[in-house]
Amino acid sequence: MHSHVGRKGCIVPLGLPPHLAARTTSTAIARAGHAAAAVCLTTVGLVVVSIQAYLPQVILWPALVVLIPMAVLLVLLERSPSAFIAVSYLVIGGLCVVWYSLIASIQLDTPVANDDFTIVLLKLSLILVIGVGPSLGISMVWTTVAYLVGELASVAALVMLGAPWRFDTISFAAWFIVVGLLAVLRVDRLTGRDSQSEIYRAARDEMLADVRRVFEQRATALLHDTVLNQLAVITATAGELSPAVRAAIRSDLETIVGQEWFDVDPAQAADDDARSESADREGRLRAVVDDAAGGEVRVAIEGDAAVLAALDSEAFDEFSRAIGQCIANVRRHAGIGTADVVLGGGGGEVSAMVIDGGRGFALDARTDGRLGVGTSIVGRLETIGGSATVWSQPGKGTSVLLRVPAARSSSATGVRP
Amino acid sequence: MNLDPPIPSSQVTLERLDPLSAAAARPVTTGAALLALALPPLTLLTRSHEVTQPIWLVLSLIALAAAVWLLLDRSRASRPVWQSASAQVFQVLLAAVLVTSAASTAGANALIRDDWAPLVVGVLLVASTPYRPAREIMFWTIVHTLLCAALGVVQSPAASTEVPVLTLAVTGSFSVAVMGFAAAAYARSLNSSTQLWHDRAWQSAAAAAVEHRSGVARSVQQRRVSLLNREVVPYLQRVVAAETIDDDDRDEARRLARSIRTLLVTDVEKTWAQLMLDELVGRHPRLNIVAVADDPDDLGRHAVLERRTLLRALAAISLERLSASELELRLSAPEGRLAVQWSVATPRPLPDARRELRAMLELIRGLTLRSSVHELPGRLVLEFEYGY
Repeated sequence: MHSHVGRKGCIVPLGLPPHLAARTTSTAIARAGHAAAAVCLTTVGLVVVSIQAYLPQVILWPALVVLIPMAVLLVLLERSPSAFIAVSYLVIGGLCVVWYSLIASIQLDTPVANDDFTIVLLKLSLILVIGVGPSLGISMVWTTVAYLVGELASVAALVMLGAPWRFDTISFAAWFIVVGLLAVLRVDRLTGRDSQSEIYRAARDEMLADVRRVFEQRATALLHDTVLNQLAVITATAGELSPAVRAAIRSDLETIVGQEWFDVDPAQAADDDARSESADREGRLRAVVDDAAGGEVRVAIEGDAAVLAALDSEAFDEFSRAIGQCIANVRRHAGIGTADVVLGGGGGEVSAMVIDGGRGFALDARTDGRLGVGTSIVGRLETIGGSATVWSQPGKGTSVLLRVPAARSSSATGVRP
Repeated sequence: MNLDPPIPSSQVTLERLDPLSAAAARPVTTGAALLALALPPLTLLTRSHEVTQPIWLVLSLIALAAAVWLLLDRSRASRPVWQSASAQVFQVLLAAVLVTSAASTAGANALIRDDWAPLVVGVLLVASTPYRPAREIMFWTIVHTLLCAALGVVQSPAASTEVPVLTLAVTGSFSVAVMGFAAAAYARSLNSSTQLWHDRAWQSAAAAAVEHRSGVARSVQQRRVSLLNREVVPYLQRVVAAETIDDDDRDEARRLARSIRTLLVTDVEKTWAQLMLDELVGRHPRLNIVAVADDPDDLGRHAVLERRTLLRALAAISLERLSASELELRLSAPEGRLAVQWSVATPRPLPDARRELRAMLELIRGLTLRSSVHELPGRLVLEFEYGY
């Protein structure tokens, strides 16, 4: 199974779909309201502390106590929002407004008013709770209920103290602004999103195009290694084909028309992966190498063959085919009868160094268009997130280092770069 | 060359993550900006007697006007996303508004908590929410709050009410703190929710692509096999069965090899941009559409999936909604940034075409460093450059 987890912080043109836009905005406004309510409660606390310090003879500190349950419920509402906590916050908040008004009025010996700065802040902390719910419309209802609870609480305190009622402009303005903001966002968030479906479709098509490109690349490599190789052999043959060449052509024909080219069946891949630890991968690699050597090159496979088990089925197939193609190149071009394959691993990758002491070549010489090494080795490894490096000089042999990540990156799947 | 550096976390804004939402919030920005301009004169109607230094008042209004202009200009639909440098200038202007406004009422500020400047700064912090990162808003909220508190302390000797200095500092900075922290919390919540949705949406699209993997693999194989079955497979079967190879066989092998090699090289050398356009145009076989990709370095292939997606979506919408008769896509990388030029010939009136592309243009604006749309006769030309 491949990983397709998106990267944090990358640019993504997918915007929020309409059904999520309203809920996301509603949640964000609720969180903003909670932050603002926390500032209101903190401000009230600081004002009470500063006045208590300034007038130590009065007993104002009990007014601080009313802030504690409100702050606790606000934290609970922020962490695990629920209608129960929101209702509790409003009910207890309403009682706190009454309690605070009574203490402030009695202790400071001043007539209380429902538009006093700190009382207004307590009422704002109710209005700004915004409430819980999936839509902006529900948030508007919560805000309105909270406004009414705050006003009723302050009226109750005024009745107890026998003080006159005055219209609280600030609380009303806060309620009006919050509800107005919610209304504007409710309308705006749901419009102008007609391109979302096209973007999403394009994302899926682009991923599929990636997948197709990977398979096209592998198919090109396969055709190069089989059909083009055999046609080249036939072109160079005079008279009778050798039995080994006949067998190789038959084998390639069987591969081309009689087998699945790509091992993409998840069940089969899992089965192969399970069997990979039984060391048969070394045997399969040996078979691929011997097939490519065609009896003309003696290949020694050295190093730690156990590292092959770190590759999944698909990666192993492509890796071993790339090694096979290196050996086929030795057979065709190196003019030498021996070659070494040294397997290695570590640091999250599996590597193979293919070394021959043959005639070598100038690295800038290109005789095969964009195919050959580019397709059969480099391109093939790229489809599994790997790479190939070639060192060669005329007369001094050739070394090719093939590297593949042990745990394949998602780019290897051609689904997610 | 890395053409696709991820957005630095300090630069994650709603405008970049969900340009359509930022566009939808633009009326709120405009309303908040107008409110910020209206508040000072409204306050001064009743408190003009507190102004002791008119020159400072003028300076504060100039700073406010400059900040509002910056906000409205940088949030315009035709401009790229708001860059960090001018955003810092915006915040410095807000700080200047606070200081100069306090200086204008030096020695006569009776209540402090009713000052218009902290209120205006709070409103503008809220207005900047879609365009600036939460962390930046939080930082500047703290700065402005502390500045207001300090100004409250400085002005306390002139206050008419007999309350502690700390009370004046707290009440004087309340407006900035309450709106600034709310704005930061809003931006943080919206951005993280949007990022979460993005991750899930991409995972879902990736899962859909994985589901089709087997089908794609089979179709690729079938296409190649049917090609080989025409000549190559019968030829190889004949050669294997034959006793010897003669000159005709060798000539035939050369010809087939040349033909296959040409096909394979053509496939290998096609750029991502050309493949994408060919695929989309191929879906409309009855239309005579000319699609040209100019991307000699195959920059498209090296772009991240999200950028390729945007280009593909733009091509699809141009073909399906604008009935484009010609599409030209040019990719280049000046200064290491992926630059795109789209040219779309359409029979539709260009204003209509612009309207059809409005949402896409918003997206492009949110994702790019620079973007522009030009009109040529019968043709829209879009140019944009990725970057931060």
